[in-house]
Amino acid sequence: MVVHRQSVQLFDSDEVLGVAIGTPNLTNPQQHHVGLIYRIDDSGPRFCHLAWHFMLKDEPLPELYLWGSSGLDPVNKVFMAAYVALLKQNAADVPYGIDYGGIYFDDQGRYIVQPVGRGLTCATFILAVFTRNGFDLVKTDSWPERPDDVQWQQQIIDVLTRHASQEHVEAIRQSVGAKRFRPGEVAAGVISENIPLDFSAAQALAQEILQDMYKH
Amino acid sequence: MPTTAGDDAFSQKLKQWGYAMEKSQPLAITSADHQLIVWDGQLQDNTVSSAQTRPSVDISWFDRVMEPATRPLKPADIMPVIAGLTNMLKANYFEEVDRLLKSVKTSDAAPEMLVALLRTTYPVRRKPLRHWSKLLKDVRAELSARHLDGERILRGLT
Repeated sequence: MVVHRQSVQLFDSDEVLGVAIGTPNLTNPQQHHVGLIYRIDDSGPRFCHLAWHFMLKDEPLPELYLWGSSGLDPVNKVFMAAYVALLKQNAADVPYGIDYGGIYFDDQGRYIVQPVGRGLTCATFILAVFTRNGFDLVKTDSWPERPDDVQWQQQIIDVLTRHASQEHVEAIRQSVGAKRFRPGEVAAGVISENIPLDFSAAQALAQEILQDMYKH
Repeated sequence: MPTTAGDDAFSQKLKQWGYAMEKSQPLAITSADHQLIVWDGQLQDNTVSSAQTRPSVDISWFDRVMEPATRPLKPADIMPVIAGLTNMLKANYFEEVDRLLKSVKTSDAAPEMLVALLRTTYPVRRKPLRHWSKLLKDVRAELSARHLDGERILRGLT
């Protein structure tokens, strides 16, 4: 087992950093969502995640999500958990975007405003948070552009038309076909002790994660 | 509580800061670019008009960095350090942050605190924080002396 469902096995009481993956919309089980778990003291685990366009959330870890422990060493787990705990107050305004590349958080922990149409997904939000602190979870250069991601990107844009400005939506259309870092692959990067993962390693571990998801 | 900063880290006036705080007395200190007022652990710019005055910044958290850990640290112990450094960077107190980095006694601090200092300031490590690289080198040596896996703990920091 790589990940565990929170309703079956609670996030370890001595664990401070991890990743949670789940299905936010039960009518669409192929749509996965991912975020970071942190615990700052003896209180319960929290779930920090980019839920949607300008919607960074910090809430108790949902029971239906599956969790995995971070593969970082104990010292960096403590630091990253503390950093994630402060994210909501420092970087609340994160737009949604489907391409990924560059620097997204400044020295003050704030989101760096990108050109119109650019932003982060739930998965690339995690990549950007780790990159800001010196950790590359994946080797982005090894990622392929996959034709089956285009359909997902177009579906996302269709939904975005109801939530984002026309300017943002029109600009984001230019990114269709961009490399996609899927939730399971990024969750693999958080869990792995051997970062940065290349595409094949991330995909293999992501497959195990998804198998655990469907097993429960 | 007196500061545990190294001898050459702070100006003579700033070295008196800990004592002044203990006595609850305000103390004016001078740095190369700014005249600052330290009051109960707060830094405040005193060189510009009130309309342009930069916000005061709490640096009381720095004492915690220097304390040897008596128990395993939790994220809640690190948060004031990250927030404190972030507030100083927001207020453009780069020179003062650099001076704090220079003053760190790596032999006293917990690894989590040292990592928090390095990673929080990582995006501005080249400029204007001139002492970031020296601190990284010192932390690497200190972790090795404590038989900790410095390569893994400092992964990604170059």
